[in-house]
Amino acid sequence: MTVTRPSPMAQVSPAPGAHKRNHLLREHLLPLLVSSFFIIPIVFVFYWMISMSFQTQVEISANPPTFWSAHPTTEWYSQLMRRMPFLHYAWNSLVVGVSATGIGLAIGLPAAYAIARWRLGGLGTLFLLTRITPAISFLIPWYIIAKRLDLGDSLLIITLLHITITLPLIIWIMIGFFEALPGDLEQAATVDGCTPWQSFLLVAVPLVKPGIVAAAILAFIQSWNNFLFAAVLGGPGSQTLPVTVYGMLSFEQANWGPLAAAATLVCLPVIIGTIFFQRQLVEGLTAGALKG
Amino acid sequence: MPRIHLGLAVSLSLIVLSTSTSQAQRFNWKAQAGKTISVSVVKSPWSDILQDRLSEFEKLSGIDVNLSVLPEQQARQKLAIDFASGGRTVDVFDSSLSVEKARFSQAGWYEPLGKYMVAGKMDPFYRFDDFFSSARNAVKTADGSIIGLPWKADVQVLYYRKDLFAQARLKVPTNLATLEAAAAKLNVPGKMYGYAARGLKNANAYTFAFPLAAFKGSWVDAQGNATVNTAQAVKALDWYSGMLKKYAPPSVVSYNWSEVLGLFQQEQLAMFNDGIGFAVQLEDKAASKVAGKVGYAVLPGRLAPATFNALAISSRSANKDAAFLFMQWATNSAFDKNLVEKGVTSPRQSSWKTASNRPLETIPWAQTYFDALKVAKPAFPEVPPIQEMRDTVGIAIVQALQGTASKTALDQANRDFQTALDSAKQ
Amino acid sequence: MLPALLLTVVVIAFPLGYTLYQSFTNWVITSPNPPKFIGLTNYLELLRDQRALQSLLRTVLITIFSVSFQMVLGVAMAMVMNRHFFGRGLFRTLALFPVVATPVAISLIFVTMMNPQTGVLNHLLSGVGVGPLQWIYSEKSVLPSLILVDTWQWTPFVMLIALAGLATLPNEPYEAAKIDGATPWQTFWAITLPMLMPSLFVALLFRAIDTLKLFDTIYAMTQGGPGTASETINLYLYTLSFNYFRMGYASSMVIALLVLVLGITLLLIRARRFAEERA
Repeated sequence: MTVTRPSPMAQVSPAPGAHKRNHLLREHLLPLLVSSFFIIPIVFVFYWMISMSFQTQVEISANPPTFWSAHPTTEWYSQLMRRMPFLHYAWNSLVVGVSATGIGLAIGLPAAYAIARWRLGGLGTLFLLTRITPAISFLIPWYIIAKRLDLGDSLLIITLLHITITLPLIIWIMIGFFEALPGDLEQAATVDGCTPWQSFLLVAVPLVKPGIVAAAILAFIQSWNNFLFAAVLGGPGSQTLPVTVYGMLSFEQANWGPLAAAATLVCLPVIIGTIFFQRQLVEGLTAGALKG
Repeated sequence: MPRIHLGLAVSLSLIVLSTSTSQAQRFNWKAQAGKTISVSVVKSPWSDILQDRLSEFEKLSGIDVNLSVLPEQQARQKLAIDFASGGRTVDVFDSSLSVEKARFSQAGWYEPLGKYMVAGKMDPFYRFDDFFSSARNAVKTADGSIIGLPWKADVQVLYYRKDLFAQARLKVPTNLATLEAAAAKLNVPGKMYGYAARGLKNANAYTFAFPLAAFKGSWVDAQGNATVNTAQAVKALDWYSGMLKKYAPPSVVSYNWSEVLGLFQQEQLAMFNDGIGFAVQLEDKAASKVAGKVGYAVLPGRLAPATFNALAISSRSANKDAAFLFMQWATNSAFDKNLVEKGVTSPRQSSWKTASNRPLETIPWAQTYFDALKVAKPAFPEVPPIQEMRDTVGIAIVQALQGTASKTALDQANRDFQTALDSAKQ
Repeated sequence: MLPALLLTVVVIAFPLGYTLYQSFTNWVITSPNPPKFIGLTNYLELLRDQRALQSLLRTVLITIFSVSFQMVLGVAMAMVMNRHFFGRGLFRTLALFPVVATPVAISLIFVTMMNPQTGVLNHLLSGVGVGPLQWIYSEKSVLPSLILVDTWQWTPFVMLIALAGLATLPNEPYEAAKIDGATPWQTFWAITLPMLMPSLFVALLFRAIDTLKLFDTIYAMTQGGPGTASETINLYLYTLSFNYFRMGYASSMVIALLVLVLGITLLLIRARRFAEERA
């Protein structure tokens, strides 16, 4: 996706020996070194988290701290699985994430399209407001409505609340993509007799597929990582993963072993997803920034 | 011969049959079979036991139980939101009486248990009078109605390293002066801290209750007005912050019980005061370096600030009878007997005195617990805004630790606390 | 199209409307009395609420410093990562991790790393002779500690936007500059940075808004402590709502905050448009 700028150096044919070494140094080693300066702190935290999840209790509480476990153990992971329905909570996070993203797309795509096509800029301010509003403000009103409507199941309520996160995000990202579409394509479709809905579904949507993927991934990540909603409203059956991690700091001593294991497991899916969907993720994150 | 045997067999079986029938007639656990109840408890060693044994109750009663176990803050919030939206999600909930009783009873969230504690609804073997008198008082509201069945009675005690005390030929402190002297003697800067206690805002109010009582101060007066800036309270804060500044690590300002406990377990702390409930962790040989070296004592001045937890029925529950059955089972003597072994501070006297594993003799801290309970007084007053009180005074304590004058800090706390008290009266 | 639009507006506007309504009542969840309409009383109390004003100040402080660090470091990172060096792809992938990792999980790991007695950070620092820091355990260092964590997590986000922006920059100005004999430093300041401004501005806006809302990290690490030293508006709101149960008053704070931030955002956008027109 990035346009490569030909580096000045490449235009000079490398002379033998010294020049080649200099080239290696300046073009590769130096940037490598400098960027390591940034990357090492990033990687270190993840390393610490993962390594702690495999250390024994003694190693975890050791002073000076243990950098490399001599006796790695998987007891924290098995404890996690035994003591609580961890997989069930992971499933909850997944269900909520997929549903909130799916519904967000179902509502958000047409809405974003409408805003882009009919230039409803004012609504943009509304979304800005939503982004600024602390999540707490969404909590109570929606919970009360859900109760009045007797929606019973807590997972449903949490999903509804997550939609208040995914929907604005999806719309925000998709407005940019829809706006970038040239108008003549849809003109042609209308001339051919398509209804606005058809031109939306059959023309516009296929063209913004990369945007949809990006928006969906980002929305899912936001939902997966969300802590507050499930923390306040989650129950025995409807707890999500981030709450589980925090719950390790419970009555008993701060259980760093299980906490590290839970933290690792929570971050794992999004990290893996990031590796595979890097490109789309970057697109989503930077969309809106580049239309200026 | 066979005839005698037969006769014996018949009469024996008749006796057995009649006894069991009459027992079954006395209390019907299955009266609410088929119902489903939702129970919300705070995560703790007790809740672990509850989770493990839940299926026993379900088999006994035929009631389906949805058990939710959450950290304290979350459990409370969820309850609040639930009630706020008129919900009927929870039937039985775990209540931290010391913090919640006044507020929740004012809000009408507790179902009074009077009409359930009668023959036919209550197991005659339950024995409510088996609970410590302080626990029985703790579950009563101002007008005398019982709103919960206790499952925990925790008191503050003094924890100390008896091996270090023996080495330094120190006697167990009986007043604040000897406490400080012991701390000073054992304090080795950077290696061994003489004394520590909670510094974290809100949590610190609990351990501060000790010096407050020691200096004869109180949180509110008889009229229910804030008194946290009286001369006695200021002296208490001077003492508390002074001790922590002199003998505790600088990061104590953010210490909750787990950090204080951790310091003690790392063999870097000589003394601290906190709830006795944590003792079981210290005596766990597998995880604690100080197992076997810990001494327990009633706090100097024969003081014992106490907190109580109970199970209560939501006033909005649709299954109150089923809920009551559950509550009884989870707090009866059979259930409680096993708690002591696991280190839960059971509020039943029988669990300590007559339990077959003889806890008073085998558990190192049991006797101190018993003694402390005799002089136990509630750590907090019975007014609604306890959280606000713990926050405002907690902030004052933190400020004092970081250099502000005690009087200044407490004056502000008193103002804020009084504001909270006033608005709670609306 | 229309139903989707309407639904969207409802989903978003409804909670806001509800909050606005609540801000005019004295609703306390545990009060046995139903909420009463009390007009602007909450707002008047807000103006006199020292704790609220101080939490606002802390929120602004954290946002200004955190976002500034993120912008500077993010652009710097982007400049380096823009080169084609061996391992660049791997590094770019790694750089994404903090942005997508679960904030609560990462924050708690930081808590253990920042332990003054046993944490690995102090251990490493002692290796270079820096005394044990108190990190989140002292009111003096708690805000910088939180800023550090937030910066760690979000700098890559700025880097990504800057990288994307760099990729779209035209070549001509650079060739011209090379002919003129400009140093890399001069090139950066006179050409790269100004051309990146539009993208950076959006990054700034996003980050500022998100940092103002920062909750998970602070809640998980300090709950606003020591005392109230790290209590931001969001934390105070949470305490008011779920510890003191004062929903009416909390609602008025939300509305006040929204008005404030919206006002500043619109001002910023207008200022930028003004600057663009003049350029």
